Amino acid sequence: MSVGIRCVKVGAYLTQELNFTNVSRLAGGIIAYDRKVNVEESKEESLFKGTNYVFDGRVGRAITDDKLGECITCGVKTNLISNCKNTNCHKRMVQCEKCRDAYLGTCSDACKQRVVNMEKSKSQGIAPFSSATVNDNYKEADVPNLSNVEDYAEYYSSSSAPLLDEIQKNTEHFFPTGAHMVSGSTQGQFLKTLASLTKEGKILEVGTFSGYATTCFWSGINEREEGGFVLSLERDIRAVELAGRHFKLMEDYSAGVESATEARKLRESDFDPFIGKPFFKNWLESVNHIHLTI
Amino acid sequence: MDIKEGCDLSFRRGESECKLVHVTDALATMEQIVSHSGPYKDVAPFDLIFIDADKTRLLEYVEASLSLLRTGGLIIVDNVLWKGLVLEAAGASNGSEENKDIDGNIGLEKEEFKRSRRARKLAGIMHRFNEAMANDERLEVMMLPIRDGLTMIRKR
Repeated sequence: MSVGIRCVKVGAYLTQELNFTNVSRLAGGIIAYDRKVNVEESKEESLFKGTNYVFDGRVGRAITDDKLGECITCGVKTNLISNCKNTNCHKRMVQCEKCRDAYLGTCSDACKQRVVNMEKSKSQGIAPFSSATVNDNYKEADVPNLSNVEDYAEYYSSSSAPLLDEIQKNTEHFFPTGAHMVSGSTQGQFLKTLASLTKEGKILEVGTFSGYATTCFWSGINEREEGGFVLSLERDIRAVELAGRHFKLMEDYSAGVESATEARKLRESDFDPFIGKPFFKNWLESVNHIHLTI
Repeated sequence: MDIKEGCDLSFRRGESECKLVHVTDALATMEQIVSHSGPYKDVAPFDLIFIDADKTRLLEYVEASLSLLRTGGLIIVDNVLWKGLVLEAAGASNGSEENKDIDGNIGLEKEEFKRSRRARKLAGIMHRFNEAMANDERLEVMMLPIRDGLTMIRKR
């Protein structure tokens, strides 16, 4: 695959960070090189091996026939790139032809099931509910002014667990645009109470975010003699990073002062859910790898 | 802690377990549970399902939740008042012009409106969702105006 589109950055990284002096960039990029090697049929053997990722419907253009990728499903060598057919997942992936057929062009059992169910409801003419298809993640400008009545209600309620306050502060710190999305003290207490009253203490949460409501549910089922179970699903891996750390504290120290102290340390440490995320980290590592093997 | 794509983390405290799962599409995972397949095939039914996810697919989340809930269980949906903007959305769909306030603050409100077009669009989606819930004869719906609005839904 190509690092063409990032080559300006890679070039700067090689010269400034790794002290290389003889760094130059390919004129016209990989596309021009491909044209020279393949279209104009020069006798040169391509130095670029495999498939070049392109930003149009083709997804990838095979520059040589080498199969350098590994199928996401079975691990076999392949050069096929596609996007998961579950439109809400749309994950970009390397997948061999066999698995593409077996998984109906999706990346996982879950996405395959989703596609099958969609087809089923279409063929039966059932459209139980269809939501609008706006897919962007919502971003909100400002936190609303809480009405005085809300503040009053919060003030005259028992204060929430110390860990919850720190989860809220961590959310504001790491996800400033999403800080208003946490449940907040009064609502949190309410969710906790509901959870404590359930028949079997089994709770499903769709959208973990920083783990505020999850912690409330968990505290609630802990008040039941038989305990309970919370299953929380989250799509944003950065939110999983943060929530996972909060849950670890809950596991080790419960929601009291001790876990709050540890939670506060997250803001003071070099932890950052945005940096070191798979794409960026692996990419830098692969750059270093190139430098070592040249 | 091994946090990566598709990870499934389990935490314990006393008699309780909390499982955090990274998913590409929560709805797909829910449907998988409904059809008793995948890694969580035996977890349903739930007593309580809290929906705080992609606001454009709420109807689908509720529909899937109905199949995952025990009799008498509760679905709770967060942010149903969308910072109060659902009021304007409801006004717009009724063709009324309640928003012109007596203090003549229309200009200022218009500014505000322009800035938050996206918020208004989502408020419209939220309002239609609230309407759909209230009109669904299968459901008993109670909307609580606390914080950003919580709707509690129970199967009749």
